[in-house]
Amino acid sequence: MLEVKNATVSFSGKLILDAVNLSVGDSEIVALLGPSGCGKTTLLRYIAGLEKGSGGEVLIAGKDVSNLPPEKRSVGMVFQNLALFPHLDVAGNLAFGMVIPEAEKIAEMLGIVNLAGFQERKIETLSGGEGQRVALARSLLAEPTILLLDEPLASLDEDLKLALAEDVRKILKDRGITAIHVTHDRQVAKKISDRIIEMSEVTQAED
Amino acid sequence: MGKLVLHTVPAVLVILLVIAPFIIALIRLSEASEVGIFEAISNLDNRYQTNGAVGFTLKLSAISTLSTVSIGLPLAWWMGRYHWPAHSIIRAILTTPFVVPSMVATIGFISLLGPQSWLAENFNLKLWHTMTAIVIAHTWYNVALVVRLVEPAIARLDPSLEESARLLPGGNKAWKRALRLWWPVVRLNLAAAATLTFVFSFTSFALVRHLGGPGMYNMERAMAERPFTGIIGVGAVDSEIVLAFGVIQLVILTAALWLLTEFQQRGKTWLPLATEKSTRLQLPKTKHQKLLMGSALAAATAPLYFTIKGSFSVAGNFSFEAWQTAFSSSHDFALIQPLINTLRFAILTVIIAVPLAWLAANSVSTLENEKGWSARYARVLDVMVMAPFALSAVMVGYGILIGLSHLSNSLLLVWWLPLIAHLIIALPFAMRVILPAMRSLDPSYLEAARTLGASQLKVIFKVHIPLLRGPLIVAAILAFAVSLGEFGATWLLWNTPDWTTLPVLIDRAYSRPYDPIARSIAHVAASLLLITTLTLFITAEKFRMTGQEGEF
Repeated sequence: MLEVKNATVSFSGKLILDAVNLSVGDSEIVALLGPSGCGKTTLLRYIAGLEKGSGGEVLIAGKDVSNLPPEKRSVGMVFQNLALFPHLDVAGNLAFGMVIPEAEKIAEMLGIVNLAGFQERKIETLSGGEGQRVALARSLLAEPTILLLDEPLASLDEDLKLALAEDVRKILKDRGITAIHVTHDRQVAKKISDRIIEMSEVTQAED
Repeated sequence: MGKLVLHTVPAVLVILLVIAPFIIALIRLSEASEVGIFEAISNLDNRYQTNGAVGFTLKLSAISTLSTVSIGLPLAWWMGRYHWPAHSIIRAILTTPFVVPSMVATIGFISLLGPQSWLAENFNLKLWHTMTAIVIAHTWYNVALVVRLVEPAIARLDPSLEESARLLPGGNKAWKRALRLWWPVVRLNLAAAATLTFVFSFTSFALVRHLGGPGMYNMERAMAERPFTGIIGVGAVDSEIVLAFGVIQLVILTAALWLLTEFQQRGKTWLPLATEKSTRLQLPKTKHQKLLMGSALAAATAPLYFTIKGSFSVAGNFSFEAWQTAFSSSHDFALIQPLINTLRFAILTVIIAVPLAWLAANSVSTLENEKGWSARYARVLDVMVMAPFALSAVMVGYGILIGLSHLSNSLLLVWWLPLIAHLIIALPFAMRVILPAMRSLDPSYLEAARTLGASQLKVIFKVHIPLLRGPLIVAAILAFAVSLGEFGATWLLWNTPDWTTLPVLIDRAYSRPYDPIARSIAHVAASLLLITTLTLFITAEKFRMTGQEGEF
């Protein structure tokens, strides 16, 4: 489903990703594990097209998307800080990712992420866990081929983190979504993924 | 391709509006003056029209800056350090003068310090046509700037820093804390405020023209009052003077603005916003501080009070005649048409300057973090948009007057000629509000929008603009207010009654000392400008966001 070949990214002369190779199967959930600063987020941003590398290619469903802008790659991303639009309510955020916004679909998705009736809630009134669910729901409604999760659970307390990881896994599995979840937490990685990949296995870049 | 156009448009427009007319004007001035630039500069002190003007300008600016800092710093300290009753109202009063149009302040100070003023009649204070009067007016204007820039830095300091300093040998005395804690906190903001004060005093025109009287010329006034500038044949002397002053001004203002940029880069909290997390102390129960603050408030409001009071007075008697005459269409100084002109220019300035500032800020903030040519282009564009800050209003006026007339004489009669000056002057103000807000915008919002499949246009209209709604409104209000009060360039370009704006009308009405109703109508116009500007200023404050690093 996803293949990354020789991804190379450097910032200000410092090599962050050095010829990284990664392969993820259809409907597979992969956890990318590694310490802070090892290039996990950069790899996700490279796959999404938010970071232009100096080399390498990204293939999604066999198609080379390396030269496509982020909005044309069919890649969804849940950001570490969630990036929920503060000027829109929950329904507005969910509708943003839909080509034709439909109230029923939004309500249905909110039900799936256990936030039924949250349509008109302001973003600043959401708790940490609720925010994570809205961000996930927003990305899912855009119907991406691949979903990238950049440590979205990092700021939650331990119990909530593990419970939510289980919920996220269930939602992704029910919908057959291919996903990469970046984390430095081995417990979360185990809970959410089919397969754990250590970042050090795929890159030779130094921290 | 779309990206290329998006990033090129602001540069092309700025070159066409600002850079090209200014360069053409310099060439034309050089041709008309028949001497080289160095000779023109060396001739300045040999001419009776310009003798001593450079020295006077520097002296006036330096004394104004010193006076402003000496009064502004204690006020900023009291405001930042202590919680006063009705604190936000006191701050609004102290910072208001900065947004008052120059002609309104001029009227206020003529009423306050003029020969028939309350101070002159009751205290025999003879400041009329002296440098002291101009310094007082400059100080009044710019103290607001010092308070606005320095107070938040003092108020925002984490109190635990001072507490820990008190417990250590390096800060166990007040003077040690002043030197080692508070001075580093305020010095960059204070330096920025002092530099801006110098720049504004250096390019002061309306105040020098009216308070200084017939014999007092700074460079700005000496340049502005040269009617034959740029006319080949008859305008050699005038052109030579403007060329020499223009170049000196450009060099000094560029150096000052370079300094300002240095302070800006070194201190993140310079030019902060009015809203901040307060760490102020309870006001100690000493009377002298309250007395001094009371005096400062009286001084800040006095010129404004006399401006409005003058509109209800004709030949020294209380009367509504000026208001009635001002709105009758038959009088020479009827306000209706100038009011329409003023509003028309201000509205058009907002409609054009704000989108242009947005485009330029978008290019700068997008490209400055990239590598190679993109980053260099972003820096050049930033400097180009800010260039009008290094030109005085009069030089902007000459750029348009001489630069554009070189292209076609018919351009000198088009109604939108003053609008170009308003755009040039308002653009950097709008840019300085939008750009920092854009820089501080979390990029993940835009990235999230793109990963959700949004096109560039959808990202701009659904995410970027709504998230920057506050700064865009502040920029629009600022552009409107700048256009509303613009005097120097409009006065220079003034050609037909159709172009008379309220500030120009005030100047013309006040130049008729024998006509008491004309002077009172000038007060009516000034009162209208004052009330509008203050309303705009209060509205703008409501739209400023906490943490938004606006610069004006």
